[in-house]
Amino acid sequence: MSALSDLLHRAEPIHISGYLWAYLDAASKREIRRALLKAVCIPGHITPFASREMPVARGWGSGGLQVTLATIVASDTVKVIDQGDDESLNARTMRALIADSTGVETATDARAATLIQTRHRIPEDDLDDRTVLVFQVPISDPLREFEQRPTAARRMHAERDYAVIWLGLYEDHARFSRSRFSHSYPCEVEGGYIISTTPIPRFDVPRLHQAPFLSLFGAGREAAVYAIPPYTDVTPITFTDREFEIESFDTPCAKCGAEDSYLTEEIVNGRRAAVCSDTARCRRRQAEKGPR
Amino acid sequence: MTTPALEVRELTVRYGGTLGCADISFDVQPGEVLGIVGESGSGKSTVLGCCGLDLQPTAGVVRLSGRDTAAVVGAQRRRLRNQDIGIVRQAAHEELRLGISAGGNIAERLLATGHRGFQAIRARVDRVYHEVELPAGRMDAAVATFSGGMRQRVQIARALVSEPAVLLLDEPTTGLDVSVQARILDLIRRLQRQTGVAMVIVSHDLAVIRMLADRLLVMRQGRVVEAGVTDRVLSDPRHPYTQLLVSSQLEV
Repeated sequence: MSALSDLLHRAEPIHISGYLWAYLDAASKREIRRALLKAVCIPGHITPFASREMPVARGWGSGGLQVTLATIVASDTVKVIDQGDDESLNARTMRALIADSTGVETATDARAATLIQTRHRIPEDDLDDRTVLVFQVPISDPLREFEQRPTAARRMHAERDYAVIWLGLYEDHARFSRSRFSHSYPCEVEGGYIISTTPIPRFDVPRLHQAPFLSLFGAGREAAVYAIPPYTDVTPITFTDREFEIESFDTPCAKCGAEDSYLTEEIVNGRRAAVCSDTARCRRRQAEKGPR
Repeated sequence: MTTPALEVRELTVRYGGTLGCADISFDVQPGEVLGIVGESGSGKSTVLGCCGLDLQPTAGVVRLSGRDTAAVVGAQRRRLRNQDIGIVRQAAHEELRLGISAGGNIAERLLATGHRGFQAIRARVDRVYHEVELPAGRMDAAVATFSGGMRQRVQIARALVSEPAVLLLDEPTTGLDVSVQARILDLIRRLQRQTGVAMVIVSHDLAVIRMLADRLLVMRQGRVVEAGVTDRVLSDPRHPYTQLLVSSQLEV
């Protein structure tokens, strides 16, 4: 990701439209990078950092934005998505901030991007080991639902005391015969910590297992980061006699006809239709198919 | 000589300058029931807290099936509690999660000790749920919808599901009406005989102790003032405090 020239380039503030290069000051970047290094060294460990005030409201991607701006280098190509969509307002404004304050290339094609900031999805194209994925995280701790005291939750993580998460899973299977997690499915990282795969759908969870890319999770409001290094085991927790199931769809995408993608609901020609959530890939497939 | 399920030696607990209990020693053999009586503040619950690994003794030793519990810390300590010790408290909400189903509350101890097969867990929970005579068809209902007596039954099921070596009961029937109380005590006695679990029961109600306990400790101001076989202590009390306690019982 970083050549020596990039490092030099990054160390020196360049003023684009009145801001420091990559918006954050050098001390902030260093602090966030140190937290990220620790997070990568201890996969799945929730690492606190000094979350800054950002020009987006907390809860709107301030954590992901800080991680992106602290790790970006001049040679990066950036893609920003929200629910798989490059053109949602939130994605557009953050992409503009990143591009304007650094001058890096932007892309919608995930295969061309080296730094992808995302909320809710992992791009469906194959990503390689040059890619860094930055997740915007609303709630970092999978124990939060069951244990609100941070001191108690930290002890539980340290002792791998995850009975309450299993209890939630037991309740779901007892009452509904299946797990109710639609997103943020709890996963064990490298046989150790349980993380919240937040907030991606179950559909994307298997792609984290032994992924070639680096996943960085940033929670701005909670001032916490965590990470999954490349080629790490990520196992969705489930009972030994219950399969982990991903969402399945009974129709293909109404726009590109894909049968293997995650669909969302949209109005197409005045009708409700199921279409690809990954808009960039959908558009490319439509173009490949040619005009109807 | 078998190894006692629970061994307490010269147990002392201080809360800052206040004495919780001093120099308490007793054994409970597998299948035996020990009662502890005494007035409020006499140190009964302190002793039980140390046996249940909730409290750290200031001095003295607590051994579970011959194993010194002071050396067991962190995750191992939690595992020991979930596996080898069952606890039933007076206030059910201290032990149970009211928003979680009865089955879930019982299953939690299995989940905490590494059980991961849903069918197997479900079968064990179902068996013990019916053993404590809870109504069929309510197993997946939240404990918050259960009556006081039913909550005590859920606690008993939760305590016994892991097949513990020691069952600790802290005023298990206090606050229940007398008919429910009698049925719960019957249940406890039946399950204790059936499983052969070692049991320590704390109560200020001598009728409860007389019904369940083989042996008895009488505590006052943190110390044991009299100990012996239950029938002997209650029919022929020797210490003045025990005499007072026995004569204070209301006759119906």
